[in-house]
Amino acid sequence: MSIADTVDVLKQSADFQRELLDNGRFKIELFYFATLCDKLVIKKDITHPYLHTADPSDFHDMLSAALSCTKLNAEDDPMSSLLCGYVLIRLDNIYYSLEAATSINNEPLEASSEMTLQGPQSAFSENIKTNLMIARKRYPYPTLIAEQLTLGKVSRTQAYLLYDKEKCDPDVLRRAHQMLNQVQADTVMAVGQLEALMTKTKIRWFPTMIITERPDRVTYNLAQGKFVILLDGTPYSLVAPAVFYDFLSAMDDMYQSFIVTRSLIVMRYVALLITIALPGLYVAVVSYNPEIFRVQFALSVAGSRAAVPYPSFIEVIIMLFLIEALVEASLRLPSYIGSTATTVGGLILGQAAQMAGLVSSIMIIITSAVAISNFVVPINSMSFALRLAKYPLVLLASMFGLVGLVSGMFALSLYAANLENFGRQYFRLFTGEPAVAGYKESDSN
Amino acid sequence: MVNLRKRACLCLSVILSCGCLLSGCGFRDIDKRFFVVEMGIDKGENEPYKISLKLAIPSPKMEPGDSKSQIITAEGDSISATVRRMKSMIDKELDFGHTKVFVFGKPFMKENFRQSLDWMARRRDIQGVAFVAIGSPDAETVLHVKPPSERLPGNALILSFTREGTDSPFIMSEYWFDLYRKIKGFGKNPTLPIITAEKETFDISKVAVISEGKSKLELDAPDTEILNQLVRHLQRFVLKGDFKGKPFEMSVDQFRKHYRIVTPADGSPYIEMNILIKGEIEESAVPLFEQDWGALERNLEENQKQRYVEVLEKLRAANVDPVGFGVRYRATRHAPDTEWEDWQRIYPHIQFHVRVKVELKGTGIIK
Amino acid sequence: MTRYYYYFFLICMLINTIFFVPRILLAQRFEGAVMALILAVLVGSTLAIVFTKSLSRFPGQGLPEIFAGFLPSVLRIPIILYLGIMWGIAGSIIIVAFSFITNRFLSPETSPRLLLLCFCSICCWASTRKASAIISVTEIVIVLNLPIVAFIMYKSYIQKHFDWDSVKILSDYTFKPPSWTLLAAATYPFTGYINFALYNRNFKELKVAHLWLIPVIGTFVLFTSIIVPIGLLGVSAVGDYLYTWISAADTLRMQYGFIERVVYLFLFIYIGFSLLFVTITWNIGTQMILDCLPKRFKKTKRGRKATPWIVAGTIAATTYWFGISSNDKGMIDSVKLWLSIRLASEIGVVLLIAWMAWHKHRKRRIRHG
Repeated sequence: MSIADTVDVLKQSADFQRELLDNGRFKIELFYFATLCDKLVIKKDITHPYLHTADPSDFHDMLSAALSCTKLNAEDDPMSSLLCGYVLIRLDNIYYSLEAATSINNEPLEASSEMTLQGPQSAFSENIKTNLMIARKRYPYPTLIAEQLTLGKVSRTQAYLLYDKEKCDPDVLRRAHQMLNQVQADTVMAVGQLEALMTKTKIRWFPTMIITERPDRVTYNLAQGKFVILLDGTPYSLVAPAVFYDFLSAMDDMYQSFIVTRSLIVMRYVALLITIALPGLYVAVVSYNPEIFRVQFALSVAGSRAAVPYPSFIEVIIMLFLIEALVEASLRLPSYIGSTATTVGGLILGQAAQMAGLVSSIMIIITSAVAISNFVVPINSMSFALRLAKYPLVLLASMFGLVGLVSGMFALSLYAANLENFGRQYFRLFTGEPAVAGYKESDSN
Repeated sequence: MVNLRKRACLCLSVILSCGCLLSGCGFRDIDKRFFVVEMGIDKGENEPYKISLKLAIPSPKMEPGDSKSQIITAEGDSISATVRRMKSMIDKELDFGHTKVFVFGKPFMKENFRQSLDWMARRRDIQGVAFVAIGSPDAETVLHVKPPSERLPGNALILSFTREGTDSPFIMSEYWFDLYRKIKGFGKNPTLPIITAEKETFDISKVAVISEGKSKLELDAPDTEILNQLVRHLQRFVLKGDFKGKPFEMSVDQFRKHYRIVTPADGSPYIEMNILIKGEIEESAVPLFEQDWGALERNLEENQKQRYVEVLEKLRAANVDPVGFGVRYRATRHAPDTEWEDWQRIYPHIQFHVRVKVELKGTGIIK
Repeated sequence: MTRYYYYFFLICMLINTIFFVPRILLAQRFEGAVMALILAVLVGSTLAIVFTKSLSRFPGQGLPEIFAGFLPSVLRIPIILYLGIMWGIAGSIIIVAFSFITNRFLSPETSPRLLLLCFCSICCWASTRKASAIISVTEIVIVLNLPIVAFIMYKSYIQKHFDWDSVKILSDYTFKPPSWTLLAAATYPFTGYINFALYNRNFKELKVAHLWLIPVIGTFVLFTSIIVPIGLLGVSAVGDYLYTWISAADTLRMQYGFIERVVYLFLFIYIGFSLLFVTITWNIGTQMILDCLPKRFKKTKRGRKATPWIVAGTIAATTYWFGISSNDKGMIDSVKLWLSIRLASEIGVVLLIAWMAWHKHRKRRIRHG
């Protein structure tokens, strides 16, 4: 499209300004989106010098000497740059475009989904330039390369691909470029969506890339040789390739002492096991093999189930569903109803249901243990993925008992081990990742 | 559209097949099972077997004295037939997975009871670590006893036998797997504790030695204590002694025993036993700290040695061998074809040379 | 690298010491079982060491590739096919045995067909996974379960009721010559090394340190698998039991543990071990059979995805049919037969590989010499 056609298309919007300036000696014409451009920049870079320029050729020189000002050729389409906040300047039928974009939301936010106790508390902001600044400030190494990308046919979201040229595996980078080139979507709004667009398989379960808003995690991963994708409009960034252990490590692990850290990691894995296996274990023990535990325990379980009229797996499914609904609802509740919801959940679901004989008291304990352990996993996407892992196990346990449960867990670990991202293994016991935070070994588990 | 319908049909068929799989699965909730906590086997009046089962009734609150149970009895000509007959007497499925105590009635033990072991050995859900005992006057009476402080049905007996509760030196508990291997093997005779049912409690202080498939010899409480030391290496018991006519008692902390079977080519065979006992004075009529401990020790040694030899000779007279001398003989002699017959010839005449060494460690916190 | 070798070695050891080796050996404990154990340690370790050293001369190559370099197609394809089938049978036996055990001890009311179907389908799916995934899962399963196995062994030795005298009785019967079946049963636990026939592809080189550990661990585990049942169940009564180790584990009790009877802990971990073992063997078997198929099955992209499933599915279906139509007695007889054949083929394969390795070494010596 030629420039005149572009202007014709755009002038229907009220915020598209088309101004003819006249300083008595020569005229220039400005085209820009008033909402996208910073008027101060326009004044300082264009109108003010324009006032004092006598000759058009001087103004040409000035524009050539201005920062971020390019001369357009006849066949260039200024549509995309106008929509990004550039100012189109016409002087004697020569067009220049000057960058004058205004930015909003460029304050670093507080870390809201991933907390540390004694680490940095601020996260990325929603402006990509600020994010890149934060990243580069924390990683001031010359080999940090940032490649610019534009994703989404309509949204044209800006993105940067960051990596350390020395440490990153060239094969991984090649795959990354391949994946990014095949992203076909109209709008790309968040990194989760980007992850879905980048991977080939449609039905995925475990996340294979880490979504994080913490600059320290991004820095750590860059030093490990991973690449990071920053997306405009969201404080979250995408880090790949990731292994399973990364999803269960919090940044706190490097900020505390060795024994504390290792115990916390062990505790996380135990919580993982609890949240996946405990409902299935309950069904298996109560309905198939009550002789596993001691007689005192078996009688106490039998006593607490005495009032419940339906089989154990229906009880488990009901309670799990209620807890899932509670968790989902508490995400979306406005803050002023928040405390009411916890009261409802605690009292009504727990105490009253048990007293009415709808669920046994042991089931209440199990459900709360499961719900709490689920959130011990630091990365949210993995926590959500693991919430689903217990349902097939409950199903298998209700069909086959303990055997079904153990087979289910075996199948789950085999499934996770079979996942591969970027040609590397996802799930291993000793991952052998480089220890860049100074600890002697960075093995998992 | 066709694709969607095909997929919907596939999903539906998978779900339906899962549903029909559930029925053949053995899914049975815990509250549809009746746990048998104790089982009694008696001689029936009309039929060979009279089986009593103590079924636990679970309750949401577990307070001491609150245990509820139900006892059902039936007679039949084999254990499995009787148990099947009993299934129709109750509303829930019988679950033997938690049967911790099997009681044989005393009259039942007078005859060969090896046949009854077969049912227990063949079933997969009978625990190998279940306890076996003899009930006096018979098994059903023992099952009916309900101590007032019992929290769960059957708990009192279980706690006594597992030593989680009381740690009495008179209780010689016997595991089911131990009974089976001793009965099937050669060289060691099993012992079973005798539970005497009193009004609201038990008295487990006697032991019966089984040989040739029936109860051969019954030992009373003092002899049971000695046998407990010899067979089970009981660590905590009390020795009696006297110092110049005044009695004193020593509580034992450590007990060690070694023995050898010596068969000299000429001369009579004997068993040489060395026993080491260490302990402290627990009760005394006179202060003992300043006295000659050597004399005290020798006195204790003499008393204890007499007791040991007495009990061992009693066992030899009845031709029973709970300590396991036969097995040791077979282990140390290398003539696999003839060693068992040799032992059976040697045992009725064997001598016991027992040497006891007592080491006194202290006299408590006063002199 | 070394540790993966020992993982495979251990899984084979641990599986076999509960399934058939104790039962077959203890049935003939007075007729040469002890001698069979001693010979097995020697024979097994020799085979393992010879195989490993020979295979280390062919880095990154699996058995089909090595054979392709030395034998003509006419010889190679039947041999590889035969080996693939043997591997498949190894897994099938474990599945059928394990489903019998599960049916007997853990879920007696579940229909055996359903259990068999469940196991066969899970293992069929699992055996079509990538080899690297299976190797990782091996590591995970073994590292997580080995402490429990060690704990059970420790507990059984420390047990007050362990009758050492019974064990000493057995020493009287040491010098009786064993039969071929006994020797085959006793050497089976050492066969873990043979999985590297295919998994050598996933490792850059097969450098295994501390090879002396093989006879040491082997002796310990083999003798434990015989001594513990005898000590716990009595030397005469132990022959009565059909599932020796499970009944032996039933005699252990954790007084202060959450699970009081150790037998359930035992069964719990052995479910994991059995599934892992079957996955490994069926995976290797499937790969070997696939290698024998004509090239056109391997070429097309679509066919490549479905063919492993077809082969694995065939093996699973055969196992299911065999499992349904067999009973306890028929199964143990066929197992004994299979074990005897297996020992012969194993010795054959090791000799073949050793000859090829020596041939290559000599060729290289001639070329460089």
